[in-house]
Amino acid sequence: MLVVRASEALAREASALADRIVERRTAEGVDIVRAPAPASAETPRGGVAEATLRADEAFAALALTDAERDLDAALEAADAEGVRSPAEIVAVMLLRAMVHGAMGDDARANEAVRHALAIDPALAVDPERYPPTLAARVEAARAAIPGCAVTLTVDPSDAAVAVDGVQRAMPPELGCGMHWVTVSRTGFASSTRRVVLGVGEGPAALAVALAVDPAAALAASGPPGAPIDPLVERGAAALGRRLRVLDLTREPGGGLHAVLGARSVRAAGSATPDELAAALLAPIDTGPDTAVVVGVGVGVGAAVAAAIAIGIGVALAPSTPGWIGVGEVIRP
Amino acid sequence: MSERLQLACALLALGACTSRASVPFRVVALGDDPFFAGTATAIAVTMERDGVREPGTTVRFAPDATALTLPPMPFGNGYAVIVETELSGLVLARGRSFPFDVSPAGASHSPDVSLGVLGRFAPVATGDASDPYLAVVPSADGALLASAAGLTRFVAHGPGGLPAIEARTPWPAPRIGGAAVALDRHVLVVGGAAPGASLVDARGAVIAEIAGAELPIVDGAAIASVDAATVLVVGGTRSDGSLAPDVTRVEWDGAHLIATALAPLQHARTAARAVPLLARRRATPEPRVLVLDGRRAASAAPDLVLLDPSGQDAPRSVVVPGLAVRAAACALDTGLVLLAGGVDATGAATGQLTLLVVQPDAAPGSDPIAALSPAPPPLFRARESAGAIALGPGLALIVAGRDAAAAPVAEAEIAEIQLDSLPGSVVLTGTLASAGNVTAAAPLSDHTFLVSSDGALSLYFSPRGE
Repeated sequence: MLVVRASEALAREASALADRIVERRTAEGVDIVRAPAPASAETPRGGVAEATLRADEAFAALALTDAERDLDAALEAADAEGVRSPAEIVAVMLLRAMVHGAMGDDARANEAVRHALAIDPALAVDPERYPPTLAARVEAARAAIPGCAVTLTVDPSDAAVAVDGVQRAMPPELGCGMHWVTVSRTGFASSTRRVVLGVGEGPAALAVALAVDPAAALAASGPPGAPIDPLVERGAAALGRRLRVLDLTREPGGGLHAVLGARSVRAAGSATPDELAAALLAPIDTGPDTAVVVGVGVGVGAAVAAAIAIGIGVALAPSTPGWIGVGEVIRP
Repeated sequence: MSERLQLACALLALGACTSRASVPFRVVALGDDPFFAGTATAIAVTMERDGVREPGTTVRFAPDATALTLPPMPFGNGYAVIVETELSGLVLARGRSFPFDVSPAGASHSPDVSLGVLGRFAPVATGDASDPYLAVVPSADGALLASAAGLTRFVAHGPGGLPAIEARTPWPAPRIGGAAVALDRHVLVVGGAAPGASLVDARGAVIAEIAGAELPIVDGAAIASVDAATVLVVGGTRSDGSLAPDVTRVEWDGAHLIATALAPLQHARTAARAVPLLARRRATPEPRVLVLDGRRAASAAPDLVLLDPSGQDAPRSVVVPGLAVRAAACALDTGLVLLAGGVDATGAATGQLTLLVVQPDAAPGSDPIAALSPAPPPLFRARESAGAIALGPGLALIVAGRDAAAAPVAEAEIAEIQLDSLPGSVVLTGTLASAGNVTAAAPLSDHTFLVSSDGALSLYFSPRGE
């Protein structure tokens, strides 16, 4: 694994250098593929809102079964994407209460109201948007909102915890009902878990161990010369690669200086990226399974999220220990 | 592909093999075809951990798939594999493995899945009607089944993946014919050929005993599991044929059985039934046991008796007007017991449902047990001596029993009580292959319900409470 680090001023040169390295390796018959972008905020979101809107339209058309299905899809989207704000999921629950109420299923309607109140105990039903029957149902359920406890263990321990879209201190105190707990940290893939806390039950135990997001971890490799964060090492390890770091800097005289381990390559300021790549690659055998990642430093200690991640061969072959279930279906 | 690349791929594949344990499992279709003759649109597999579905782990396969490869998961404990067949997004059939752990050494046991149509019974074993199972004790891979004659082990997935029954281990001679109940993964056998009780482990070995002097019952005791380590033994028949008013609390501390005599019943009785429940007292749920029916020495109006397993409250006898006898009974929620069917005052089988509200600290002068009015709608089939199995809060499965002509009833029904608005509704759900008296039933750890009816065993796949 080769990580190229450069200052923001050298972003264009670093990217061009990466391009040249890719071209050269391709010309040597090595199959190079780009690794996926970090699973960060760039990931498209909005499935909850879209599904809720569809449910709203279906409910308005009295297509109750369709509305129920779309609300289930909204909850599944919340499981997959996390919840952006309490209002987002409260809207799902209130609409769910109206749909179930219209279907004559008071038990599930009241359950949805309880879940909404668990997320927002001070919930005020907008009379412009919701019918009086729903407001009455909410007020009836508000009388007793017991508290429930959850014993939450996160790894890494300094990860941020959001409940129903709001950052919370540990340990979070929650109302009894349904909640979405999102755990996130730079360099790791965020994890969202739905937890249902029952009245009268003991503390629910929830343990969330985040998996390293290799591309995000490597993108946080820092500026040239900075110590290598152990997280970067873990990112490389998650890709099954040994980490090597190439620092690209500008010389006071205008030339480019590339440092790769004990090897140092200097090029005149007029040198093209192709010449620099040739100078770097000629004496350095990166090996057949080397991957190249370019992170362009922004300010101190961070790399841009759009870092170019390039792997050679099957760069994303997983090496995280674990297990895979292999099932056989025995039919009648 | 270049030779170097081929080498790299081979090395990577090898790495994957060495870093990821493969956990094989079988998905066994039981009962009615869970693939609906090929009309199912997908098989969905989801990983569950500690009772919560893991987001993002659902994988859908073609309905005719024979091999299911799941996404990689980290080593850990408390996993379960959930398999569902879908028809355009609707779940038609479901199965779940028993909980399992996975470490680098492998899985604690194979996470095989029994897949069944929701709301249906799957017959899994024929049995001996002359020696029906009296208690079902859930285990890590099935259940222990206690009959009057001995202990039998039910394995949900035998060598071929199908349910299997292992050979019966007879009780020790003094316990032949005794009544059985679950006690902390073991079976407590009360009475039999001699008074006393024995605690028997999964292999049929006696690990603790209560002397006959402490528990002088041989037959007809009503037994209820108060919690995992406590049971209450109520009434019964002594060796000399007399009826006992005794109420005995039996506790298991992991090494010894401790029998404590509580305040006796007002009327001695035998062949009663005992329903454990939680009742709300001083705003805190507390265990109680409701005793129904039974034969008494003196003729008197049928009553209900509320017992406090802690012994703090004395037994309370309550006569509830219009109550049927031989009704199926189970606790639905805190302070709420459902009675289903039974025999009414005219001697006819009835389909009435009764909700009993149990409030031990009712106002002075008020009974701690009262029937709720209005009552829920009646069962579709009038029946007496049926079985009632709690499926979840407010949900009960009413199964088997005998109709007005004393003929076995095969149809099952679900009573669904809306706990915040009462009373509820009733729907038909499935049919037992072997109708008769339900002698034992219990939820297993794979979320199926094992029902014993006149010795035959069926698994019920609940459509509710998921």
